[in-house]
Amino acid sequence: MSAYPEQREIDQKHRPPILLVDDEANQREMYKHRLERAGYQVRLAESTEAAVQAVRDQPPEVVVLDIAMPERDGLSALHELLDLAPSVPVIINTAYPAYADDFLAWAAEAYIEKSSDIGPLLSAIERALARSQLQ
Amino acid sequence: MLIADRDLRLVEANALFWDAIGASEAAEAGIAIERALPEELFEGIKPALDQVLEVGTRAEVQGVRVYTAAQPHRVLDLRSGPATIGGRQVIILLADAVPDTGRRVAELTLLHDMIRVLRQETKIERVLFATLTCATAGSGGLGFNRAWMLLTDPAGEGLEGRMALGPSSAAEAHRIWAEVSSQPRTLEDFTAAYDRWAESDDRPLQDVVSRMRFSLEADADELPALAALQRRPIKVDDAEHDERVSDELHRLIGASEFVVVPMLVSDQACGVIMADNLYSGAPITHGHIRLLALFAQHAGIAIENAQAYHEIEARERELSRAYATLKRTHDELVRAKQLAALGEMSARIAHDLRNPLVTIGGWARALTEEPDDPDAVGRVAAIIAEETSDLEQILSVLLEPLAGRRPEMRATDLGRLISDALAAQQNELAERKVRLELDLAPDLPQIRGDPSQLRRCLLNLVDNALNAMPEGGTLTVAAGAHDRHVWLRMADTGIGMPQEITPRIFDAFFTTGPSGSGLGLAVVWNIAQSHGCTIEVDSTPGEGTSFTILFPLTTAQHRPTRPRTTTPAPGAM
Repeated sequence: MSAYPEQREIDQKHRPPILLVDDEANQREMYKHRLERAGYQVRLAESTEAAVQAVRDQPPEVVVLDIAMPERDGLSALHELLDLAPSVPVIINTAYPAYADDFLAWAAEAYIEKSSDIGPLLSAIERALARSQLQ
Repeated sequence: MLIADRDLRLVEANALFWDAIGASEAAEAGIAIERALPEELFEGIKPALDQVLEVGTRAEVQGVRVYTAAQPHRVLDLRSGPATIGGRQVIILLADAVPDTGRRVAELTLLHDMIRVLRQETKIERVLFATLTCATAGSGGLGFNRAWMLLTDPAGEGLEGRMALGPSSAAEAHRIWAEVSSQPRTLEDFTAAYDRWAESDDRPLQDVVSRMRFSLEADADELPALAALQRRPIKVDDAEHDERVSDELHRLIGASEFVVVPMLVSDQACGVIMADNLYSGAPITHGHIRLLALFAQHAGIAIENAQAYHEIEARERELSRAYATLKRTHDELVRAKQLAALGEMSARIAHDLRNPLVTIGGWARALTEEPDDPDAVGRVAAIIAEETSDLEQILSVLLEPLAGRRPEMRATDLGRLISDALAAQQNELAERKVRLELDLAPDLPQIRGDPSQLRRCLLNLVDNALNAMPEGGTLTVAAGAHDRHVWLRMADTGIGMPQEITPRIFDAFFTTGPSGSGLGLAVVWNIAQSHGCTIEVDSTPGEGTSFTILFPLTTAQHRPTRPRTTTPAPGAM
């Protein structure tokens, strides 16, 4: 039995690529590991600069973005990413619940509070993908 | 002279007595003197007669007023005492009419005293009361039966009834006159009399006057507005048929003869006094009107003064209320900013703690999903260990300043420590326009302390001083030895603080300004405590604050160090 329904049908070739942006190496790897287990292809970026570059090189289907990173605030990067690739939904994944009230964050597809339970993040990714397929 | 028996029945009285009291004919012997004498006279002397009967001593009553239809009232001085005539115990009563000039002197004296009193009084109601008391005071006063005071309203459009004094019936007249003819002469007397009057709920005349309101425009041809506008006393002889007296005023006053006198200040009427002799029916003479007018003028000035004083008082109250509101708002604002700062700090802490927890938990869950992967276990365990030590570090950074590790005590040169710590602050001080004055005693004994903690302590105090001098200033750092202590003093020329908050400044999270975590001085306190130091704070708002830390010296440290002997002691080799 698996923990998440998404894991029931693993078909890596058809699961779309996700770009995960986080400055914490161990956390980045943890997300990569677990999102891959859920069947997604995962690319990683350790900073907002790297994320912008990665989107420019090859836009992913979804961006999972941490905010409050040392070099540059993820919120300002959010808008740069949306300018660059308006059709790519960005999900904010942060340990700061307070940013949810910041109107800059409202442009994001979803606002997830970081947790060791990645269920809510997976649901948000599913929803975002479903929506962009409809459009 | 009148002789009465102990049942107060008339034995006999001579013609001079009847003449003195203004009686038209002598009463018959044997009737009660209560019936033989005018009512107001009997009421006036009754207490004296009671004293003679009960105590057996002589008694005097001065200034008893007697009203007669034929002439203006008389003022009598009465003496009474026990006597034995033909073996019969009797009471003798002697009456002396106070001569007219004597009365005049008494009147002028009271007026003089009154005016003096009025100049000192600042409460307007008391000024009004003293004025009306004087207008109605029996013996020596102007002696009107009743008097009304109306003042010009603030807009200058009308006269408003403010106060009235006088009995509402002839019977009450005697009681009141007896009371006021005790002749209050000092401010305290009037104040006490006013307080008694103000507390009494039986003031029918006051109810009447508070309903009085006359327009200076619409009622300009009628009294009392007419007297105020023409700025002269006006006397009414027959109110019912006088067209200057409205039906309403006639109904309110009830007397057919009365006078209205303006109270003038800088040639303007600030109000009027109305007076009558309803109960005695005594005619109002020119002399009385002149005196009342003169007196009204002084009263007017006193009332104006009291009103000005009242206004200043009201302004002052308003100002102090405004100040209190401002202070409260300021305090609330500071508190709100402190709370906001606290909230921000908690959010930062929560964020810092949550990140490693998410990583640990996330990997732990990954492991439960793949329990059979032996490589994963080792990798994840290493990550968890790493993140856990991160967490521990965060906690120790967070808690160290307050919990404080145990100081590592060693002999420390405080002067050197101060110089080093301040040298590192040179740029900061220059930037904040703060001049440093260093005054370190040359031969400071070493103290025992943890240099890194003491350095933290010093830097926090410097930080506190800089925050207290937003416009720059002078920071004085001095150290010396005294008795069994080494002292360190840090003084700023900053904003200082009120005495009531000094006990709280070492509380964690206490801060007076919007900036600062409120931890700096709490850390200073903890370090001082762990070093066995005492801290003294001296602050004056607007001048600055000084902190003095006293380091205890152990006996060994306190003693001057002996030069080391170079010659080995015998037997040591």
